[in-house]
Amino acid sequence: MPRTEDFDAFVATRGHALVRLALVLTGGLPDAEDVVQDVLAKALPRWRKISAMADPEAYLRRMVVNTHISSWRRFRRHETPVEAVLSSENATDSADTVLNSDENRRLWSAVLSLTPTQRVAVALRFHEGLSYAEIADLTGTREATARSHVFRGLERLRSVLKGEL
Amino acid sequence: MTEQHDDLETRLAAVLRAQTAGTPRSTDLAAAARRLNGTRRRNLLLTVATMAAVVVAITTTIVLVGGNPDRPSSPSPAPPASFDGTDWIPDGFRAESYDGIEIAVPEDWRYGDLSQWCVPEDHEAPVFDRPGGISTLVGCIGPGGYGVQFLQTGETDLEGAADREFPDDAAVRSRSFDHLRVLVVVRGETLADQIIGTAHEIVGLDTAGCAGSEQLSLARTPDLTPDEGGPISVCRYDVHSNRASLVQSELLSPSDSESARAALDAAPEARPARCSAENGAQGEVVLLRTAEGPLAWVHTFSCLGTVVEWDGTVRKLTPDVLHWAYSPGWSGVVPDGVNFRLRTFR
Repeated sequence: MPRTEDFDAFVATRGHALVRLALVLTGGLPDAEDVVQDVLAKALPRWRKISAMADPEAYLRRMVVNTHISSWRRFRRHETPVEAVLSSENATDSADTVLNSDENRRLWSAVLSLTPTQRVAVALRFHEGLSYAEIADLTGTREATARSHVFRGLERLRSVLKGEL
Repeated sequence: MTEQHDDLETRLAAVLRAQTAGTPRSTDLAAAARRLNGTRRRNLLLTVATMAAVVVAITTTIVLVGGNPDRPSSPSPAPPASFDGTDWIPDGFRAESYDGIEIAVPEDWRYGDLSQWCVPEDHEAPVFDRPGGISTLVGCIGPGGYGVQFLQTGETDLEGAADREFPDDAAVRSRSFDHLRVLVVVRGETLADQIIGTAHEIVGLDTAGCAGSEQLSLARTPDLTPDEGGPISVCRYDVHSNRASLVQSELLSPSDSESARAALDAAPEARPARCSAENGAQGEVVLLRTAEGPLAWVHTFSCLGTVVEWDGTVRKLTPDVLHWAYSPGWSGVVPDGVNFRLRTFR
């Protein structure tokens, strides 16, 4: 029987971080919450073993990434960047300053134009602050592959933003 | 160029952080996950029940419309008349046990994870899926693979299988017992019938020599019997309160049994003065036994971590002990970080 109180405590403290990661991956809060709920529903029956792992959050982050990629493959989503997708409605003051910059709005739109694997790598690198080795471990790829995804993602961003920087 | 790199990367990190900084907190993530899990469990069980009904309906229809009785057919093998001994195991099959149920599967099947939360998209080879392990691939989706899976029918501890999609060419069979349902998904109606026909409750000891359940408590060492030689049964249990349900069983060969004894003898003693057994309500233990009774058990002491009791002494777990105490297919957290070599598929 899963230790539900432990599960609840973990979700209360770290669930929000998973939603934020999912938000960067999916580009929208409803989709992000769907992904995280999906992941947590799958994790709940196995919580006893997951919670005994050295880093349960890393395991759930991997689930979030895989669920996002699998969902993208299933529905063959081809998101089209929109002009203004940044939401500053709930942002903090400092975040609001960042979000209100036109350049940064275009950068976020450019992020949404990345391929799913590039976006995952970029999000893990620049949002989660993971090393290439950690990204490789989390995505089940080699470190060189993770590095390549980040590099190509950045190249694509530069291409989209060409002339701005 | 370097400045351009730095500028983009700095801006990118700032934009990503800013984008999520104002994310409203979802207050009911855990509750929502629990509801979703319950819905999936019901959907899966309904799917299995529906498929079984369809099979019955199709069979009935063929009889009613008088399908050609002279048409050559491949009659499904009759279920074994008795599950005593090993005669019930078809040639080329092996026995597997889980939570009081024993079933025979083709000898070349490996162990794997068929639960919906992770089935690689290119998964083709059938596997025996024993709930409870740690999967290294998680969150995958797509049609489930082939093999045998156990679904808990109780209100708790369903191990993941949900929203199951079956391959188009799959023959699906299921059989319910009091506490769980056995699900068989294979290519070929005859094979499906043959496998599901062997599923039965363990009465006494299973083929490997392990009881389907034991009255074991994490707080009390079972009565261990003196070793008088003979093949060793490796019985892994999941303990809830004072009930231990069998997770996996294996009968070691005579030579492997001797190697296991040597590993136990070589393990250094671990007992300090006054140390009580773990009082936790649940956990995993491994009981090593012969036909004479329990010989040794691997469990957790609160002050010592996971140990093995053998030959009247509490001993430290060594890589060699774990090598024999965990059967092929085991997955999970290695006790106390001991680095051991898991035996591969026999």
